[in-house]
Amino acid sequence: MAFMLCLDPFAEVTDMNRRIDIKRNFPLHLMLLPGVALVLVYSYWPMAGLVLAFQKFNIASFSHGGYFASPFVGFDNFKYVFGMPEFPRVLWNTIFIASMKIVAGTIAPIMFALLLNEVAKIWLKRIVQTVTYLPYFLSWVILGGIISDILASDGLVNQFLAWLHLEPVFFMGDNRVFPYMLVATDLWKSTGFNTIIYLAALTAINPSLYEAAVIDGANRWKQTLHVTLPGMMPIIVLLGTLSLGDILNAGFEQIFVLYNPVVFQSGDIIDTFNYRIGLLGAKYDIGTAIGLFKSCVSLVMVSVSYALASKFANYRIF
Amino acid sequence: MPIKRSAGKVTFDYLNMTILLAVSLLCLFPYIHILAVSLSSSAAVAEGKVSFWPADFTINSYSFVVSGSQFMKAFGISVQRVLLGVVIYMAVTAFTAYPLSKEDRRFRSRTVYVWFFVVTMFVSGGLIPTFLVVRSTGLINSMWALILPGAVQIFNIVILLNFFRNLPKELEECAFLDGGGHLTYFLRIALPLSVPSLMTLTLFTIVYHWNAWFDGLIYINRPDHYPLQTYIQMNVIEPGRRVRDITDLDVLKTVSQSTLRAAEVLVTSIPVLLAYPFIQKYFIAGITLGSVKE
Amino acid sequence: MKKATCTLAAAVLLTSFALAGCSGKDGGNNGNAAASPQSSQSSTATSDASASTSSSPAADNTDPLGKYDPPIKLTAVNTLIAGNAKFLPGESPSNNIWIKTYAEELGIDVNVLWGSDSVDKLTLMVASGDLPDLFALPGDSPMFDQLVDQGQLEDLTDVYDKYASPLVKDLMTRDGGRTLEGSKRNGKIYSIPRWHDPIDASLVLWVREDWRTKLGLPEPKTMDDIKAIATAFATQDPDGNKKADTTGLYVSGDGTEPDGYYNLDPVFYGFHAYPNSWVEDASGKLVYGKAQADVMKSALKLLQEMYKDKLIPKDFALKKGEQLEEDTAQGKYGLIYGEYYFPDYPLRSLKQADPKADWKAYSIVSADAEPAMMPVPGLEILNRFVAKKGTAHPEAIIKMLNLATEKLYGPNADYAKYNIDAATNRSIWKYTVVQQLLPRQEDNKYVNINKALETKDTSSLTTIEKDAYDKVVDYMNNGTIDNWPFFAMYGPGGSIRHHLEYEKEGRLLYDKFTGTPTPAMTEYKDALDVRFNDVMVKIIMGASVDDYDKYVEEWYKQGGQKMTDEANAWYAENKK
Repeated sequence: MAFMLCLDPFAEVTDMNRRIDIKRNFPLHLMLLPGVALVLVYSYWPMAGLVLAFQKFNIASFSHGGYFASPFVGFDNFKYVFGMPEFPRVLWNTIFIASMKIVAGTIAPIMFALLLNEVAKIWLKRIVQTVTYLPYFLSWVILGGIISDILASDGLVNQFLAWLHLEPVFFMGDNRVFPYMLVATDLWKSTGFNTIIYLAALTAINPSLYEAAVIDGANRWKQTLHVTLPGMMPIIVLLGTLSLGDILNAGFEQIFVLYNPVVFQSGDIIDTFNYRIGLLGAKYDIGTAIGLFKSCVSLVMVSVSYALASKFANYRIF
Repeated sequence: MPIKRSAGKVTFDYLNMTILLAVSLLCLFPYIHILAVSLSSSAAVAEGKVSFWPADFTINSYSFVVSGSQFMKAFGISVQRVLLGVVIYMAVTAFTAYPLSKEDRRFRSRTVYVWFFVVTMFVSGGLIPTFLVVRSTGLINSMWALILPGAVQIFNIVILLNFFRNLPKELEECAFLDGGGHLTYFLRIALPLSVPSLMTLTLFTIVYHWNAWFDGLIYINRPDHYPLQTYIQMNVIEPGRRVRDITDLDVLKTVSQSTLRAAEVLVTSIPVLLAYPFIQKYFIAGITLGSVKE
Repeated sequence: MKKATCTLAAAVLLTSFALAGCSGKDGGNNGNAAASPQSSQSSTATSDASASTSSSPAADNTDPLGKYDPPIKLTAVNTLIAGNAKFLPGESPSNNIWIKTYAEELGIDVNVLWGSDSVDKLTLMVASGDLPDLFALPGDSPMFDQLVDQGQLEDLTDVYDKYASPLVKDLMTRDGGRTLEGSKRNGKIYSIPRWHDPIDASLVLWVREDWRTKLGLPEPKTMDDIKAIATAFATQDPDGNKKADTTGLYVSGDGTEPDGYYNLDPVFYGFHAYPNSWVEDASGKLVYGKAQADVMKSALKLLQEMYKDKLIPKDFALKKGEQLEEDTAQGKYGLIYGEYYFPDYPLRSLKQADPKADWKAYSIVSADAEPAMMPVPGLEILNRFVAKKGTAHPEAIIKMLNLATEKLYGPNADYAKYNIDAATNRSIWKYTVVQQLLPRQEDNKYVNINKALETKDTSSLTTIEKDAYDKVVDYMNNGTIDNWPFFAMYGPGGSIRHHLEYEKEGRLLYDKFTGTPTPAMTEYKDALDVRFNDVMVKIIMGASVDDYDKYVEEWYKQGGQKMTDEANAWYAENKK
C-alpha cells in the first residue's frame, strides 16, 4: 500500500500501472457511478434538445417527430438575435452588470467573513450572521416592491439625502445610476448567504498555524494576511472561477422586477430581452439559441481560467 | 488568558461592530416592513400607511394562512421534500466529491470525470427536453421528479472536493498504512473531518429544496400535491397587468391582498431561518482539525 | 370588503336577461347531486337509463343533453384554473361539482389530468405529444395553427352542427357569427372559442367629479378640456390640503410589457391614432396604427407638454402598477383612463378611505371636431377548446358545452352551485372543461337595471340582476360604500353607458385584422411594441417628437414590413 502511495507521478503510463489504477481505484469508480448515471440521464440526455437552436421550431411537428422533425435553418436563429438592433446594447449591459456583480459578489462576502471572524463575542457573531442571511430568502418579486418604494424620488433614501441637503438621486430612472443600484441591491440580498461558505472555510484552517504566527509576533492584521486569507484561498479561487461562468448572467429576476423603459439603455440584459421577444409565441428555438450561446461563453471563460491556473500555478481549481 | 488590546485594536473592534450592526439593520429592514404589513388591515396597507409599524393591528392574515388547508398541506409536502432531498443529495455529493478529490496521479480518470460533471453546470438542454426526459423516466406526479433531476449538485460537489483535498495528506497515508481502503478512509476520516463543510452544503441543499417552485409546477399535476413555494408562487400576481378577461377580475383583486402575502412570506421563511442556527453550531474554527492533531 | 369583492365578481359573470326561446332540457337530474361520484355514477346509470331518450349511444341520437349509457370516459386538461383558484377540502380539478355533474347528467366520466393556467405547463404537454381528449389553448396561442396544420386536432364542425343546443348556438352567434367564423380554419371548426364581445375592452375616462365641481370646471368634451382639467387638478389644490401633492392625468403601467401603458392609449385615440390596431389607410391597405407617424406625433406632442407642465406623474414610467392602488387611495390624481370595472379596482380603495370622493365615467374625447373612435379588437377569443384528433367521442365535448351553458345561463341556472359561490369566494365556473361566456352580459345588466330603476318593476330581472339592482339602490339610499362599485358601473350614468354610446354613435373601430398572429407578428410584434414604449417614454420626458419618425422607419425595417405584408395578404383573402 505504501508503495502504491509513493508511485512516481511522472511515471510513464504503461499497461501495467493502468491495470493497477483500475484495480486500486475500483471503489472510486463505483462511488462515482450514481452521480454519473444521474448526470447522464438528467443532464446529458436532454442536451439532445440543443439541436432546436438550429431549427425553426414547430411544436406540433416536434410532438410528432421529435428532435429532427422541425426544419433546420442553420444559424438563422443566432442571426435573428444578434441582428436585433437592441443586441449590442443588451450584450454590453449584460457583461457590464454581470462583471460588476462577479467582482463585488466575490469580494464582499470575503470581507464580511473576515470582519465576522474578528468578532470575539460568539452571540453577537451569530446574530449578525443570522440577520444578514435573511434577505436571501425574500424573492425578488417581494423585494422589488420594497426596493422601488425606498428608492423612489420621494422614498426613504431621497428623504435622507434631502435632509443632508444633497441632490435627489433617481435610482430607478437614471441610466448612470441604475446598474450600480442593481449591484448594490444584489449584494444586499446575497452577501450574508454567500458568506456562509467562507465561514465554513475558516473552520478548516489549522489552529496551530495561528499559534505559530502569534509566537512569531504577528498581530491580528498580519495573521489575517498570512494565515486566514491563504487558508481561504482555495475556496476563493474556486468560487471566483466558477462565477466567471456567470459573465452573461446579470440576474434576470432582479432586473425583471426593477427595470422600466427609462433604463432600457443601461438595464436591459440578454435574459430580459429574450423574455420579451418570446412573450407571444413561446419562441423556443430562439431561447435555445440564446441559451447555447451563453453556455459556450461560460464554458470558454471557465476552462480558460482552469487551464491558466493549471499551467502557470500548477494548481487544479477543481 | 486576558490579552491586552492595543489602542488600534480597540478602535478597530468598535468600528467593526458598528459596520456589522449597520449591515444587520439594513438586512432586517425588509422583514420588519413585511411583518408590519402582515399585521395590518389591508385597507391601511392600500392607503400606504404602513412602513415599519402596523396600522389597524390585526392577526387576520395569519389565521387565514394557517387555517387554509392547502397551505398547510403544501407546507408538509415541502418538509418531506427537504428531508428526502437532503439525504439523497448529501449522499450523492459526498460519494461523488470524494473520488474527485484524489490527485490526478493517483486516480487518472478524475479530470475526465470532473469535466464530465462541470460541463453540466453551464450547458443545459432546456425546458422541453428536460421535461421529456423526466417524463420518459416515469417521474411525473411523483416526489422523485423534484429530487432526481437535480440530485447531482455540481457546485456543492466541487466545493466539497476542495475541502476533502485540503485535509492533511498524512491522514490518508496513515489510514492506508493501517490497511484501510478508500471506503474506510472516506467514512472514518474524511467525512467526520469535513463536518462544517458538510453542514454548509446541507444548508444549501435545504435552501435549494425549500425555495424551488418551478419544478413543482411542471412536474406535479395535482395542485394539492404542490410544494409550498409552488403554491405561494401561484398566488403572487404581478400588479398593474391589464385584465382583458373580465371574468378574471377576481385574479386582479388578489393584488390587494398584500397583507395575506406578507403573512405567507413570513410563515414560509420560518423553517429556513430555523435551519441556520442549527448549522452555525458547527462553525467553530479549528474544532475538527484541532482535535485530530493529538 | 371581501364580501363585496366576491359578489361583484359574481355580478360580472352572470347572465343578465332571460333567454327567450331557449329550449334546453331543464336539468331534471339535479336531485342526484348529493351522492359521491362513484356511487352516484353507478346509481344514476341504472336509475336514469329508462328516462334517457335512448339507451344506446347511437350515432343518430343527437339529443344535446343525451346521457351515455354505459358511461364513457375521456381525459381533459383545464387551463381556466388560475394559480389562486380555490377548492373545498377534498376537491380538486378532477373532483368537484362540475365533474360530478358531467358524470351524473351526461354519463361522461371526465378525468382532468391537471388544472393550471401556466402556459409553460401547456407547452410541455403539447411538446410531449400526450394530448388529452379535450384541452384549452390561450386565444392568441400560435400553437393552435401549428396543431391544425399538423392534423392533430379533431374537426368539430359536424358534431357542433348536430349536437349544439339552441342556447349554445344562440350564444355563439350573438355577434352575428363573426367570432365563430373568425375562429375557423379552412372553413372548419377546430376549436370551440370562449369569447366575449370586444366592446367590453372599451375604455372610459374616470374623473374626480367632486374636484371638478368644486373647482367649477366644465365636463370634459375635448382634449383641451382634459388639459385644462388636468392643469386645474395639478395646480389649484383640489383636495384643499394646501400642498401641491396632486397630479392631473394619472399613468402607471409596466412599460416592459407590450401594452403596458394602455391607459395612455385614449390620448392617441383623441388624435385619431390607434396604436394597437390594424386600420385601413386611404388606399384600402392595412397599416399598423403605430406606423402612422403624423397622428401619433400630435398625440405625443400633447403628452410631452403635459409632462413638462407636471400634469402627468413625474415617475410614471418607473412604476409598474404597484403604486396604482396606493396613489388612488391617497387621492393623488383626478383623471385616469380605464375600463368600466375601475370602480371595483382600483378606485374602490379611495372611496373606502374618503367616502366623499366621487368618480364619474366620461366618454373619451377628441382633439378636433371629428369624434374619437374606440378601437376594439376584431375578435376577443380568450380560450380555444380543442379536441385531440381521433378522440372517440367528439360529440361529448359539445354535450358538456350544452350542459355548462344550461347550468350557467339557462332558465334554471343555479348560480351559487355552478357559477360563483360567494360564501367561500370560489369561482366554480373555472372547473368546467368547456364553456362559453355570455356576450354583452354587462350591457344588458346596465340596461335592465336602469329600466327597473325607472319603472320600479323588478319582476323581469334575473336573480343576479336583482342582486346588483338591490346594491345600486342600497348605495343610492343608504350610501353603503361597499356597494358603490355597483352604482358606478350599473347605476344611472354608470360606466357601461359609454359602451352603449360608443356603439350607438358608431364610434367603435373594429380591428381589421382578425386572424391569429401571423409568423412575423409572432416573431417581431412584442419586441417592436416594447420598443414603442421606450421611444414614447423618452419623447414624453423631453426627447424630440421627431424621434418618432426614426422609430417608424426602424419599425418597418425590423419586421414591421413583413407584418404589414402578411396582414395585407390575410386581408386580401378574408376581406368582406
